[in-house]
Amino acid sequence: MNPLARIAAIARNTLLEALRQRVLNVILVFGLVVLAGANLFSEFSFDDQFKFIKDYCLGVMSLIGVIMAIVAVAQLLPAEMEARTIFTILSKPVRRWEFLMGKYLGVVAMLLLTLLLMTAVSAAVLFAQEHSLVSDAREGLARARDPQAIEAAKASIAKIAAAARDPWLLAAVVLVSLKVLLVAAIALAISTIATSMMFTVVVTSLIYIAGHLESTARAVWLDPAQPAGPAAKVFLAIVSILIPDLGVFNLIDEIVLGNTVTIVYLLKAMAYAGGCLTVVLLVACALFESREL
Amino acid sequence: MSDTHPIRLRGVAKHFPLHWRRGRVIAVENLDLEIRRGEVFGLLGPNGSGKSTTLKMILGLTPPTRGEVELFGEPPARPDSRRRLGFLPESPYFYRFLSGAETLRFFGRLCGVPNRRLDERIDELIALVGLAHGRDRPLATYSKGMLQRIGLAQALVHDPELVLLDEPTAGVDPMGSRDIKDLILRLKAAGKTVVLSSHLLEQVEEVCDRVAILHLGRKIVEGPLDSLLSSGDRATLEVSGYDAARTDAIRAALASAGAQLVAVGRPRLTLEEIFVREVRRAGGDKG
Amino acid sequence: MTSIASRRWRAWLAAALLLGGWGAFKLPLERALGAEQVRLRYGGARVTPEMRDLVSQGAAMALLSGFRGAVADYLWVVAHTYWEQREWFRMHRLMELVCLLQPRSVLFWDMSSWHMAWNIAHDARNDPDEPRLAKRLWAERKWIDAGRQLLQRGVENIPDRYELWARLAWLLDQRVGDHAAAAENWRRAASFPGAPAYASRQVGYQLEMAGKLDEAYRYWRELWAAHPQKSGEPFMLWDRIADRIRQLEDRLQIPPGQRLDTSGVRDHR
Repeated sequence: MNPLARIAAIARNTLLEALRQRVLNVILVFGLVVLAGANLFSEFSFDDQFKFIKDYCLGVMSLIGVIMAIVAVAQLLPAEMEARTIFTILSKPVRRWEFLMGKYLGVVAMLLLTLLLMTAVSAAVLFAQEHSLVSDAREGLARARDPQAIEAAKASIAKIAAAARDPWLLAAVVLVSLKVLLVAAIALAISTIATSMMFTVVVTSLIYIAGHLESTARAVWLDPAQPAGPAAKVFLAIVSILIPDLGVFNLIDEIVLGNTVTIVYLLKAMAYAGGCLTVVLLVACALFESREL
Repeated sequence: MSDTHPIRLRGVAKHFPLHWRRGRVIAVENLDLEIRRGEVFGLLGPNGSGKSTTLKMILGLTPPTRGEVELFGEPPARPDSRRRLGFLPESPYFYRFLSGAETLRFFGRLCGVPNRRLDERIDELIALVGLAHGRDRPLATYSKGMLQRIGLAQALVHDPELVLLDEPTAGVDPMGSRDIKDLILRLKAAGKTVVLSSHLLEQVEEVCDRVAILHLGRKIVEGPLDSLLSSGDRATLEVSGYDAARTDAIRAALASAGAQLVAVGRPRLTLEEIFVREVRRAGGDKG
Repeated sequence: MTSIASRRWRAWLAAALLLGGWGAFKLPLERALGAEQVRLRYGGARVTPEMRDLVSQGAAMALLSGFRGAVADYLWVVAHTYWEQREWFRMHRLMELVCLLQPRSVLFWDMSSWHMAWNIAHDARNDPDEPRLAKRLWAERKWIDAGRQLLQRGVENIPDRYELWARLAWLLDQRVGDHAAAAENWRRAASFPGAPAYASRQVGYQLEMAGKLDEAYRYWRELWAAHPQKSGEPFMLWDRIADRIRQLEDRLQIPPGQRLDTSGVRDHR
């Protein structure tokens, strides 16, 4: 009848289940506490402070997000198999891909919720910092007498506000989210052929690391000047073709550093990540179709 | 054809390869089965005899290595053929955080039961399986028997015409077991086809019309329960005014009629006896 | 007949085709994105041999996995504890590493070079443990040079912003005394949007200090002519510029007819 309704029902349950998992909650609370401690760098001047807070918050968000994605996805199928709920569900008029997408979307909802919470805490830390720096600067402004000092104080308040409220940070958060969803999709594809949770965790982590090296592998593979034996070339070719280039997410660094990022490049990077995500999910569905249950 | 036989297995085999080419495990071998519409069919055998694997193949959860499985005349991997079927897995566990009613709502949605019908249907099912006290409790607090009841309810949520029950009475107390058997008879009365598996043979004696007994993946016996349980030319006479002291006179009277008194007591064979006998015969055939 | 083997083969084939097809499709995409990255000078996670020498394997994994910023920040804090312990060489090593980890960070190049060319150099000159002045002066020069070299690598990595050009110019002026080079770098700095007004003036000052009076005079006149409105930019201090032009006209003995008419200029702060 309506695949969307079935996927939604499964996703909803998966979300509820995930929200109850102690491991995931512990990781999340840890992440939030660590984020709240982002002010540890208060001894630096305000330029540094904002850079550190942004680096730190986005780093923690992406680390916690990736860990949660791998842990949550890796146990989806084993848990269903062990509890035999998968048999009950698949004995209903539910297609396998519907089941798999329902499970994935449930985890995605959980991950987005987590990222939203972490974004809120990061924003709070950033605004708290802005507030304290601006009030310091206001004192300076009140004490300033000559026009040049007044102008300087005003400029520094504007600079603080600009650093704290950079709208590009939202793009960075979107990129972090895309990265986390892509890692979750990779873990899902691996878990359809895995026989244990550990296998999924290890292989996904390896792919994650390889994804950051893909651009190097591709360069060496395609550059005839690079010295590499035929076996090495074949290996590099396989890595280049199969593994997504997670280097696109390095854009996050540029945003944190306040360097110019073009909208066009951002959109291209997002489209690339979206393409990878779609293909990985299709692969997961194809593999799950033949899985023995 | 599919109207008369909702389930049909022809020459079905299921082998599980072992890793590293160490050979394979034969779970089911050369199995033919035809389940008739409206009957209660028992798939019997000890643990590991291939019952669950057979059910999984019927459900399309696992494809057969050889042979064909038809569910309502179609390959079971198609979701449409599963729309007319309800399944209770062996010792079912559901999402432990859901209440009984929420569990039924979830499975109702999966089966495409329209929302406006769902509330009504949940009430009916809760009453049918006698779970009023567990309706709003999370399944984590359920006893084994209650889980079995909610399992039955979810199998029936979309009012299927065919119900597959994997070990429906296993681990359930006698009262619960009685209720489940009553429910199966009620389903039969309502015209449903029921297939159940069990390793406790005597528990299903009273509900099954026909049974097949599996052993090591092969079907060793199949037939109507009545003819299986009666033994050849033997009959049971119910006698009133029986006096044990005069057994010799009765024997003599029977002898004059050309019959012979074999035993006094319950003459029926049990399924266990049949099973043991058939296993011996199968072993003898091979040897 | 759908035997398991054929079903599994079909699924794997589908997966392989999907991945292979996408792989063939994504390669040109990735190359285009990569080329654009280079054009836009986004410093990707390129592991140079230099970097490999400097970081342990575990750290390399972490920094490759998108946490370079956080790793760099942590090492930066560690570097500052070395500063407090006066462990200059360790601090120098660590700051170089931090700059390599995040080569697109203005802050790291800027602060590191400042520490070397100013703070450490100053400490080296006044080292109480070294009685010989010549040795102390030599050490000071060495540290100033280390700061200059670091900044020169910095501008190679971030040539698209004014900050490091300005820093380099300042260092060349204040610590090296190469005013001609300083003027050149101030000129680069002033060419970027967002550069402070004093960058434009510094070009003229440095040219004067380098003794290139003709060039300085031409520069001031050009600057004057390029801003007919003499407003909009705070801190431009046109009265001071007018002052410089008048002084240079006296020193260069510019004929009265060719002198600049600065009478109409008010104080623009």
